[in-house]
Amino acid sequence: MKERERAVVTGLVVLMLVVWFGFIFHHSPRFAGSFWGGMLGVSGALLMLVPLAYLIVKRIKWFKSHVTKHVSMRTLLAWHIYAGILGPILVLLHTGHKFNSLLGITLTTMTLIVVISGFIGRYLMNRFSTEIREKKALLKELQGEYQQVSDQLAGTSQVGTVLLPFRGILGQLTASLFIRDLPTSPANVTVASPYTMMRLSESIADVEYAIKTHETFKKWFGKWLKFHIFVSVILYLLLALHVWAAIHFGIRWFTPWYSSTSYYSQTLENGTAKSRLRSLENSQQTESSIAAANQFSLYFGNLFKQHWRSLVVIHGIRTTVFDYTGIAAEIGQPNSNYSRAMQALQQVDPEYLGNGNLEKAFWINVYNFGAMKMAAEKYPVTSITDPKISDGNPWGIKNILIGNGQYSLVQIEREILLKKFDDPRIVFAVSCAAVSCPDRTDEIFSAEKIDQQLEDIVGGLLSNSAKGLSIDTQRKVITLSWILKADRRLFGDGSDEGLLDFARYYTTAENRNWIDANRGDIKLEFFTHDWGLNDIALADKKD
Amino acid sequence: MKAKNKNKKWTATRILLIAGPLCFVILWLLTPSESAFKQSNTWQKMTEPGSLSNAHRQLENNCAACHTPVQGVKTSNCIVCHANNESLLQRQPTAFHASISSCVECHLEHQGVDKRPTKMDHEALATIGLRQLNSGSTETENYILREELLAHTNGRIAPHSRITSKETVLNCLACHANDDRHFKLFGQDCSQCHATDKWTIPEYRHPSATSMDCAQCHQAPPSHYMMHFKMISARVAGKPHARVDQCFQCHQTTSWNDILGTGWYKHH
Repeated sequence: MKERERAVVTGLVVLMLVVWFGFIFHHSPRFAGSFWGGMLGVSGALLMLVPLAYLIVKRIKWFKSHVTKHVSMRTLLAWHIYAGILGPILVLLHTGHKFNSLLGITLTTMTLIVVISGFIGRYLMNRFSTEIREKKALLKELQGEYQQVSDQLAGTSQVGTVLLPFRGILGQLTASLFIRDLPTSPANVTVASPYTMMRLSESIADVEYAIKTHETFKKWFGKWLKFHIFVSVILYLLLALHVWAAIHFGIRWFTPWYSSTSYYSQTLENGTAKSRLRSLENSQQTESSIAAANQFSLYFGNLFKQHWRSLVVIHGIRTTVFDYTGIAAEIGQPNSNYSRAMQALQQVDPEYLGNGNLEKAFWINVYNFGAMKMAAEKYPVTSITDPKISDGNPWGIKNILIGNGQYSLVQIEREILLKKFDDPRIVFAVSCAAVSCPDRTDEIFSAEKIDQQLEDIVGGLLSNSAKGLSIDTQRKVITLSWILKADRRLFGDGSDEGLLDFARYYTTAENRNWIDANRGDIKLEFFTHDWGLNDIALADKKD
Repeated sequence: MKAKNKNKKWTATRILLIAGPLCFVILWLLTPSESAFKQSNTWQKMTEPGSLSNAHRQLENNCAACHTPVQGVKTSNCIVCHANNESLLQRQPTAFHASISSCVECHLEHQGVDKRPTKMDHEALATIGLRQLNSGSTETENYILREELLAHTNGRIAPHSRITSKETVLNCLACHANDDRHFKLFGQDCSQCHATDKWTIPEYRHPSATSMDCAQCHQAPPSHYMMHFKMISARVAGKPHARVDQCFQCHQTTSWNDILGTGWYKHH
């Protein structure tokens, strides 16, 4: 029984040391705080509390008298031993070989010391007693033999002559090298000779020394129990500290009942995180697209403002113009407003612009930018319809790269702007870089001001008698801009009446009065749209 | 020797047991309260499982900056300092920080001074998203959405071995639209081919160097659609009549800048 227990416990202690020693090869820093690491730690710690039972029962008389009636001390000791070795094994597994903090390292050290001191004390200590007993028996035997030989050689001169020279310290040390026995002495018989005496005395010295060493060890290891208890006390203190620290700093896998949220399921106050996965994506997409759209507005706005020029006359028509030479010069320059605007455009995903004024302003600006771009890229041209740009249909060329694809002008105007926004003023805002197009201020459209800007631009055109609205009071003919003809279905029901309703609202008060007074007799005609480029370089020369 | 000591009241052990704590208490009372070992963070530092990263060095002695007692590291502690990180929020790949409201899955501290406390974990992102949909009530749309998304993750095989089925639930374009080199020609299901640890696909093999189908995958830069092409590009390559879709006339598969017959052309 005892032998088997000894073998099992020795095996377990070796296992514990092997588990600990694995830190040389292995390191799992996150394991100790994980769920299974936690389970191992808790169970190991609970097992490590079991040895206290033996201590309490042994030392406190009341417990001893009551408990030993049911459970023997021997059984309690067995529990003490097995729990005291299994607990540390589990606890060492719990560490995941992470020995980083001072507390952790000390705790592990104390655990190992307690187990090893306990093991030595119980299983190795009694060896000393056995050893000492055996050695004492041997000593007695040797002493007996020595006495025998000494008696035999007493009175002879051999002892004196052979041994005397080796009296001194040096002689005693080297005696065995020089004194030789008679060559004819048989093996197993103790011949009485000085040589034999010398050998015997040396053996006696060795055995006495061994006995003394063992007794010293025994004396020191006699204190092992005190040491074992002392280190255990420190161990339990550190264990309590470790458990407190773990709870204090937050256990990943456990939510105490009084704590509102666990480590991994936290949401911000007011549940801002309770949103759909899709709208999570939406908000990210929207933020970045809007940011990029704003960037585009910034750079295009700069470009627009820098190259805008006030009214000049081209082909007899007064119109605001742009310096296309300057715009064309910016192409290919990586840091120019032109290039930066193009780059910003590529970052926009128009699906995420929000369907409001921001998107409206964005598309109108992109159209204007696209028209300018087409002219500037092929500059010098005299019109957007120039064959250098296209084979007749510049509005169909997909040359505007926005985040999710290449767009053409007609696509932007018809498929996007007019489809999404039921606003006839749009067709006035999407300027095609032509002389007969509405005059512009030096500002591009912005989300905040777009309504007012659109009112202004339409009003401006329809108050302009050269290209917007001109009344021939005699013939009772109103000549309107070609824009109203091209997209007449947008204005009311598309009939002349619809057009007049629209026009009278935006034109000057004087014109409005005339229209109202003569409604019913009015005939409509349309200006021929001058597609010449609104380029300052094309201004009529004053002769 | 032992017999002698047993009779005496004052054994060495007993003296130690009394004098030890007594000395400790006296020394504690004598030292000023500002001294290092009387600060709670010094004692707390003994439990530190590893030093903080360089970025958080200044919080070394302030455990409470991140750790709320018992509850651990709360998101609100992070937000106290890291809210309104403009550069982070306006950048598409990291814009999700605005509404993620959970930090510890990807941001691990106490890994040592040299390690960055950030390690992107797309699976954690998906888990967090699904968790945020979990309002508990079965009556909401969120519940249905979550169920459908979970059906995608449980028991489904991922399109390839470099990604997990949970990660396929994520909408790649929400953060990585600008990383799309394929001009949307390959659709929106990036996870069919790509993994989440790196973009490169180890199985990919570029077609033969003698292939003339460059235009199937590659689009020329804007310069090639302008006068620049005829005036400069084609002339430099010595192929004045080459068309833009005939990439192979001038370009090789070693590098775009390695012009056939001309060598390395240094572009402006």
